[in-house]
Amino acid sequence: MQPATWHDGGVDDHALIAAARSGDRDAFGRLVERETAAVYRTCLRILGRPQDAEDVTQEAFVAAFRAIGGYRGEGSARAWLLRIAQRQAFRRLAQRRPEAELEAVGEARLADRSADPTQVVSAMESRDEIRDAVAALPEPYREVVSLRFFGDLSLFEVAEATGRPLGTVKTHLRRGLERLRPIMSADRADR
Amino acid sequence: MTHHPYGPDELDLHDEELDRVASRLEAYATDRTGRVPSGLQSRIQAAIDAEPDPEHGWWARVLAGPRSWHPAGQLGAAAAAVVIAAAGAFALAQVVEVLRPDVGATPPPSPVVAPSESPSPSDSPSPSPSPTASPSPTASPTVAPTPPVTPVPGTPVPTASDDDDDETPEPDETPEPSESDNSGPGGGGGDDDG
Repeated sequence: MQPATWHDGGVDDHALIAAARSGDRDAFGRLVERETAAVYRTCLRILGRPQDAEDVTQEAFVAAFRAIGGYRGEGSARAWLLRIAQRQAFRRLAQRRPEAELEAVGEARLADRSADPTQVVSAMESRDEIRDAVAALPEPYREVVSLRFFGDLSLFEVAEATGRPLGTVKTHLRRGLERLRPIMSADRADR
Repeated sequence: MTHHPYGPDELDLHDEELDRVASRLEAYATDRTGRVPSGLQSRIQAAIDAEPDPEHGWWARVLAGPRSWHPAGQLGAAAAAVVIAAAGAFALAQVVEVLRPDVGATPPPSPVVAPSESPSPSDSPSPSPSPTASPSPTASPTVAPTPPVTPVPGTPVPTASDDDDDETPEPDETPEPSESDNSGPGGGGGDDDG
């Protein structure tokens, strides 16, 4: 009996990756279908702007396609893709011009004309604070926090994807949250 | 898409403030769950289609064989194979060279030493061992009782030195008559006939 492949309807990550690695572009296309939403949302949470999130999502998939030979099967395909995506997204965030942030405020006001501009700006500032606070975390805390909350991965998945013990990942998450605590205090959260 | 809600027991410790920070991060993530733009997948797919085949790990390339390599890599591999083959041949030649004297080079050194001792048992001054001793200046005085070092015409010394290039005679071998005899091995009397 031959082993099942992804063509048979199976959705096994490793079968998909193995097929893609051997040159099966359809298999990678299947990965794109399956994981675009997760990658896009992660990028959107890090970057805040849909246009940037789209661009980085595309760049992340292209980077993953180029690097597929280096994937050793550690963790799920999603976790592997999200690791690549979040790295690219933080890089893009660091390169973004300050003027782009002002443009983003203007775009949001145009998008929702019924909302009170003060509230819109306030909400955006709050989001920016969260994004900036996470982006300012040193590694490996930033990676663990972003994969856990922006990528919506379990700690076990994060441990698998990063190749670190689960206890170490928990420690990294705790330290990351501790560093965020002064910035994301409770009174600001109520705002 | 599986959602993994944050639980207070996730950190193996109870800290309300940290839980609050985590809840706020989670709320932010939930708030930023935008719909995936409709054309994004096809845009990604088009970008992937425009990409060349991905690079594999070096071990995969080695296992796949040279056909799957980049042309420059194939050229490099061919050059490396030639260099390795040449180095192997050179090393083999060196090994053969080292082993060869043990088998075939015994005659040349031994006659050089032997002639110096052989004159003593022989009574006649005829330099039977001189053929091999003649090349070395130290050997000739011991053999020839005559003062001059230069060989007397008619002595087999010149003939021996000529032969020394080709093959060394056996120590016990009696010297051939000189070529001035015109006799040769067959004792020819051709000149006598004329």
